[in-house]
Amino acid sequence: MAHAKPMICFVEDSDIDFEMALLATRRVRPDAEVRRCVTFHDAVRTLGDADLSLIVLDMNLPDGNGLEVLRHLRNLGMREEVSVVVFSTSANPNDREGALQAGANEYVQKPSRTEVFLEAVGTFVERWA
Amino acid sequence: MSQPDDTSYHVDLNNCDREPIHIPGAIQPHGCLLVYSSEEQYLTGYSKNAPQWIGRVPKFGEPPEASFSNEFVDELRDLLKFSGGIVHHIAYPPPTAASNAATFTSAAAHHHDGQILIELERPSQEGANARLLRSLPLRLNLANQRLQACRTPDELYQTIAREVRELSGYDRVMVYRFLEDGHGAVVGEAVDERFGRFLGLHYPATDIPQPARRLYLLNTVRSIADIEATPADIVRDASVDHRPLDLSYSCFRAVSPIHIEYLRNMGVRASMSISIIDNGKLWGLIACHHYEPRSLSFEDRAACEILGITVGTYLTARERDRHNEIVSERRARHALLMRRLAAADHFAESLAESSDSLRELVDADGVAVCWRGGPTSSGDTPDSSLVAELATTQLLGRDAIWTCQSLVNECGYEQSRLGPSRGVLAVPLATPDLYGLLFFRNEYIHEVHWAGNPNKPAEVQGNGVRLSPRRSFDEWSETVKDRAREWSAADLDIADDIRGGMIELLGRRAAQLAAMNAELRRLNDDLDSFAYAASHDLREPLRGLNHNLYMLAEELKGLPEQPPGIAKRREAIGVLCDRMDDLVQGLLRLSRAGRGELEREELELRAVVRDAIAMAWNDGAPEDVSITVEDDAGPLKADYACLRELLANLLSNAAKYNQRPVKSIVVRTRRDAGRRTRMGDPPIVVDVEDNGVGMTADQIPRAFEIFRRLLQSESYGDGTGAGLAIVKKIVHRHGGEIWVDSTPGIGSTFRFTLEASD
Repeated sequence: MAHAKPMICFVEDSDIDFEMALLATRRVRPDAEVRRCVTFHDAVRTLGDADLSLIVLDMNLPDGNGLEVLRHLRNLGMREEVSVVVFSTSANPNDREGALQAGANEYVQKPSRTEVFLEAVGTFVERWA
Repeated sequence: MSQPDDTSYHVDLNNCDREPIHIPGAIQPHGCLLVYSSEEQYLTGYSKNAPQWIGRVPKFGEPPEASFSNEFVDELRDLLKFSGGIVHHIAYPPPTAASNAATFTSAAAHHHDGQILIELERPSQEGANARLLRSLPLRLNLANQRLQACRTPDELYQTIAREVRELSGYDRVMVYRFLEDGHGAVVGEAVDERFGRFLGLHYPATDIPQPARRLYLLNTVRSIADIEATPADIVRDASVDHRPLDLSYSCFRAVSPIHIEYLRNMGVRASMSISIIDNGKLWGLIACHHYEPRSLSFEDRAACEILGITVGTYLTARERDRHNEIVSERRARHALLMRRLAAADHFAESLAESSDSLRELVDADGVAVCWRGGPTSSGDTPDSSLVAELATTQLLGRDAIWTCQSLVNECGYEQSRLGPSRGVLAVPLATPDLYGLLFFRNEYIHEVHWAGNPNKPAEVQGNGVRLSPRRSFDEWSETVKDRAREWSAADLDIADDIRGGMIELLGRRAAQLAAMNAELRRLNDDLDSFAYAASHDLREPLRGLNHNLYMLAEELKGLPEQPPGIAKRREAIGVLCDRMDDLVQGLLRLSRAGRGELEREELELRAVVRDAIAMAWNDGAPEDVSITVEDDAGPLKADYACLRELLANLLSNAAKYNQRPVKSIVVRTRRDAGRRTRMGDPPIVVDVEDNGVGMTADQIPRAFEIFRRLLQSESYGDGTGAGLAIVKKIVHRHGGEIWVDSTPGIGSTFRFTLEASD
């Protein structure tokens, strides 16, 4: 569901990962409004009432698990229209399954190589934002 | 109506093992027998010579008072209170109603099988022995001291014979010991110098038939006063009891005609034997021979019996002491050996090293330790095929010790296969890997001196129907061959200890192994977890490195002038990052190959190869690679993801280490007929054959080590070195094996199974 002016929030504690994700997002949706949360606490507070179209969650946050954030948001009655992509280093099939079960629309593993990384972010932003 | 007992039972050597010698229907004539019914106490039988003893012909149905004093009869009734078979001495002579009868000073009475048997006897002959008997307690005390002073068994046997001869006055007193197979030998002897010595002579088992041995246990002293005397038949009241009179406990019981003939052939006129009983078994006899008629009084016999019991206890206690001494000395060595084995790192090796100590424990000449894979022998043993045969017949599935003294005579084995061995002691251990121990003893050639040829115990007489006991007792020497020394009770005791000790040791080792395996598995799991965590956590900084490198390149683009060398350095760092990424990925895949549950399903090899190709090369196999599948052996039972990973690694290796224009790979399945899976089928082997560069023999073992690359990466493209380690891990997790046949310059064939097999 494409908004006129999509709002995307990255829950991401790595500065360089966020920087690259922002770069990739700008390439495909230059008009998008991009926000960033670094901690679990930060994310829960910000995401509840914002008019978001896409949330990109990292699994490993300094103060908690991204999946917990997701469950929390869904419990708070977050709107159905908000898409959630879990974007994580883990290649563990359990993590993928856990994310989908917790209500994520997609699970994407973070590629190590930058070109591939940029392409992956571009793809899911285009798809869900 | 009166009639003698039926004595028409025809006895010869063919049936003397069944001769009913306890119901001879007669007694020896130097005594007299009166039989009363136990319940009503009236006369039911008497020996024909009774009138000479009681002065009148007894009448059936009369009470004992008709012949004996009231005091005598009171004592007779008293003995009924005791168990049957106990012989009581009753001293109330002479009988009231027999003023004109022969005098008798002594009567012995017992009850047995519903009858009271009274045996009358004459006063003992006053002689040299009577004087000694007057101080019987002192005499026995002296004998006791002399016996105690004996140091060796032989000395003890001689002393027993001498003491009994002094006490009894017989011409010859022998200590006769039963040996294996029931035959016996004279081990001690005291004899009047007028007669030859029997010491050391052996007598065949047939000389003392089974019924006689049974009676020797019941009735420990028996005597024959004169073999030439005509027995006095017993007259029975046939209207009362039709059964023959049981004389098992009678001291005057008439003697078997066969035995009479046997003694006559030896020139013996009178005899007495005292049983030596050990633990309910007949150990031997004190056999007394006299060359004139001779009978002992009740008191004389009682004295001999007491001495017999005393020496019996001495003998058996001595033997037990000796046995215990041997056993406890060997037990100490056994305990030492077991401790050594328990502490050993390599059980099989240290058992092999200990084989000399092991065989010395049971005094054997050789020992074979029989493993599932075959025996390891030391010392003198039969040839290995015979050892293997004995392991199968006497150890496998057995749970008791088995012995054999002559593998030739008892088991029918060819001498040529036996080597020096003749005897065997088999100790089964009933464990899956160690079947047990076989101890061997060499041939023991020795001479046995028989009293007459034991192989011709009988002679055919007259018309050839009647067999009689042997006539010749001339010494006859036999050389015993093809036999080993008998396995002694001490040998068997220790063999039992060895069996118990080894079983305990093996059990303990099995438990230790299980614990070690569990610990290893845990360490392996830890290692897998570590590899996973490490590889996972390494990826994040690596990604950061890549990103920064990317940004660096972007920023360099913005500069008006490219600083020299910077682009080259950036590129080099990029290559190193990619390489590190490959390594981390490899480690991650390896750790994943060892984690998670296996889900076995039936898989078509062709389909899995197709998916593996897709995994190894994103765009399908390169054009110069030809992959053929021959899956004739049917579907494989394996975990899909694992098998795909395995094949992807082997295929990409096969293509990578190959310089030919056409890189040909064949993936083939076949059944290995030489092996069996747990289900009993031949296992499926998968071969992955290439025409690549191959490996040398010393490269092969290192090929499966993680991150070990045998060839320089420049020539063969990138590779992490985790590939074959992953392959091996997957094969092992399936319980299978992997091996490789390779020729440098020709190619390699990796072969693996995916299930356990022997």
